[in-house]
Amino acid sequence: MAEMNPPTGPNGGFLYEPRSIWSVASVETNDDVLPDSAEFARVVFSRNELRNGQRWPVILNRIAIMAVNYLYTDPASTFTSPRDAGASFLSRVRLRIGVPFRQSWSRFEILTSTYRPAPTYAEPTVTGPYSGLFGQVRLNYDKPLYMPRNGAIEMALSSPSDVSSFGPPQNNVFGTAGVTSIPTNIAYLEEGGLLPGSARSKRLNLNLSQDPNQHPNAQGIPYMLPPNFGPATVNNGVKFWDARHTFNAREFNQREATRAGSTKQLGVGIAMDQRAYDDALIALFGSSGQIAPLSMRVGSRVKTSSFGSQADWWRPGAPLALTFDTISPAVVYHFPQPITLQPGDSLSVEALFPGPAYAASFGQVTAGVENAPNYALGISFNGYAAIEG
Amino acid sequence: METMPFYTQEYQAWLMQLATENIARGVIEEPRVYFDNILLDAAPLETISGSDIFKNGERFPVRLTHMMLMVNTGTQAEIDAGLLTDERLIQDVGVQLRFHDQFYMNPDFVAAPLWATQPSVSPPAVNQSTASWRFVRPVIFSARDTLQVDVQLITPAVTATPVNVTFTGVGVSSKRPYFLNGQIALFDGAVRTIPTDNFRNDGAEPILITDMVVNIAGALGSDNPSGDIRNLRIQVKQLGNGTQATWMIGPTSPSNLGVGAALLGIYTGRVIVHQFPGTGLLWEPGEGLDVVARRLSGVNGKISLGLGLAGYSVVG
Repeated sequence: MAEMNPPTGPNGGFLYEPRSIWSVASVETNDDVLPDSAEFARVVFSRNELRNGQRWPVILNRIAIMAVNYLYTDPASTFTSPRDAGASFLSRVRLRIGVPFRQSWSRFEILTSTYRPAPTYAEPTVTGPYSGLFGQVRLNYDKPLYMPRNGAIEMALSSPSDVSSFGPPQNNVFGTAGVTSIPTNIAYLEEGGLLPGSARSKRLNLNLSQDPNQHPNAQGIPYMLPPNFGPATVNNGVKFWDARHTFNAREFNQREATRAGSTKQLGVGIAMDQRAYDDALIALFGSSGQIAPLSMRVGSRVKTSSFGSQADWWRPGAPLALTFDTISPAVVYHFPQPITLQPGDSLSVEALFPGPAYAASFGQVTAGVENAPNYALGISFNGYAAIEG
Repeated sequence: METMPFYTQEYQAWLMQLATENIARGVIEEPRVYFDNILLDAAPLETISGSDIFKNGERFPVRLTHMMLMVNTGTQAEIDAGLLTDERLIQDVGVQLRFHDQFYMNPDFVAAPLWATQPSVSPPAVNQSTASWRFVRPVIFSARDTLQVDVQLITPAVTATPVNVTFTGVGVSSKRPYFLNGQIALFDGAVRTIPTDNFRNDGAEPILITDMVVNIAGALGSDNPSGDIRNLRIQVKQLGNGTQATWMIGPTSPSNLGVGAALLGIYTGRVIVHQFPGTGLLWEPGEGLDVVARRLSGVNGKISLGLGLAGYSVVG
C-alpha cells in the first residue's frame, strides 16, 4: 500500500475510482392501462437504485439519459404512433431531479432533450439504417486511476438478448439468422513506459442469450436475476453473466506493458462490432429505422482487484451507454457544479411519459392514440468516489 | 501537453504568448501529418506500412500528438477489382505501432474503434462533407506569405464539384480574427491548386493560423448538396516563411496527392482520432516507427486503411 498514493504522492493520498448511480424505469401507457384522458404517466425511479450504498462519498458531475430500445425511430412500426416507438422519444419525456431534503433542480419537470448535451457521441452519419460506423463507448476517468504493480481491473459484460421486442416476444431471432455472438473488444489505456503509453486489451465474443425473460423495467434488456447467476430457464446455455464474457484480473495482468511500478490508468473503451447483427435485423424486419447501438442494452460490472476499494464501480448490469459516457450514444449533461452524495444519500428522479391524451394537452385534436404503448428510460449519475488510501 | 481551451480570452492569451515567445526565439512550428494507405487482405495476414514512411526525414524534430484511422474509398476501377469501401469495416481492423520491439498500444492488435480517445464527430449536416483540424501549435503566417493548397478528386462526378478550404486565425497585433478561404471546382481527377491569392496575408501584421477546414460539396446539379469528404485528396505548403516543405508526408506522386482530406478531421470529422497520452511521440531527425495492421476476421475482400500521425515540426 505504500507504493499506492502515499500522502505526498499523486492525488494527495486519495484514490479516485469511477462511479455511476443508475436506474431504468419503464411504463405501459396504452389506453388499456391508462384512462383515455390521461395526458401523462408519472414514474418514480427506484430510490434504492439511486442511493450511494457504499462507504465513500461519491462526487457526481454529469448525468446520462437514454432510451432503452431497439431502433432510434421506427416508421414501419405497428404502433399507432410510430415516431414514439423508438429511442427518439427523449423529445417527449420530462424529468424532475432532486436530492431529498437538500436541493431540487427545478420545481417542474424538464424535457429530457432540453438538457444541453455534451459532445459525446462519436458515430459519424452513416448511409443506411445501421447502428453506426465505430460501435464504441468510452470512459475517460475524471481523475487518473493510479494502479500499483500487482493491481488489476476486472470487467464482465452481460449477454445481449436474442429476443425481439417487436410484437410478441420471439426467441432465437438472431440465432435463426446465423448471428449467435457479437465480436467485442475491450482496451484499458494507460500512460507510462518508453512509448507514450499502452493498452491492455482483449477480444471476445458476446454470445447472444436466448433467455426469454425480459427485465421488468426495461424492454429489451435480459432480466438480471439474483446474483447467483443463471436464469431460471436457459434456452441455449448462455447466462446473463456468462463466464466467457469477462476480462478478469489474470488476463489483465498478463497484458502488462511495463514493469515500472505503478501505472496511471486513463480510461477504458469497449467496441462492439454489430455489423452482422445490424444486417440480420434489417433482413428480418426491413429498413424500418436506424438501429440503436447494442451499448444501450448490454450491461457491465467493473471493479478493481488487489487495490483500491475492490467494490463494484456501479450496480452490476448498467447499460454500457449509461456508464461509459465520454463517448456514448446517451445524452450526457455536465453539471455546472458537482453534487456530492455521502454514504446513504440518494437521488430522487421522477419522469413523465406521454399518455393517451398527450397531444390533447397541447390543444391538438387527433384521431386515435398518439403515444407508444410502452416506454423504457435509463438514467445514470456519473462521477467518482474519493477513497482514502 | 497543454490542454487546448476553447475560443476564450485565455486561449487567445495563450496563443499570443506562444507566438511572442516563438518569434523572439526564432522558432517555427509547422503542422505535419505522416500518412499511409495500407491495403489489408483477410485475416490473419499482417501488413506493415511502407518502409520509411513513418519516419522523420527532415532536419528538425517532430512531435506527434494524434493518430487518425479510416477506411478509404477508391476509384471505380479499384472497386470493380474488389476493393471494399464500407466505412463500417473499420471495426474489423486491428492496429499496432512498432518501435524496436516495443509495441503501442499492445503486442496484440487493438481494434481500430478502441483507438478513439475523444469525441470528434461533426454535426450530421456537415459530417459527410467536412473535416476540420485545429493545429496543436499555431502557424505564424507572415505578411505576404501564402499557402499552396493542392486538391484532387478520387472519383470525379459528371459535373463540377466545389471544394472549399479555409484557414482561420488571429492577428498578432490587432488580435482580430482572420478567415482565409479559397474555392475551386474540380471536374476531373487531376491535381489542381486553389489560387494562392485567396490565402495570402495581405495585411501588415503576422497572422496566427489556428485551424484548417476542408469541405467538399455535392456535384453541381446533383440532388445531394453534401459531398463525400473521402473522395478528396489534399496537400498544403506554406510559401514565404516557414520550411517551404509539404505538411502532409507520405506516398505521393505528381498525379496522386495520396492523403485523403477526411484524415484531417482531427478536431471534427468522421475519422477515429487517438490522442497520444502525455506529451505524445517526439521524433528526432531519422527516428520513426512501423505501423502494422491486420483484419480481425477472415471475411474476404481487401480494404484500404487510411492512417495518419499528426503533430508539428519544431524549427529552431
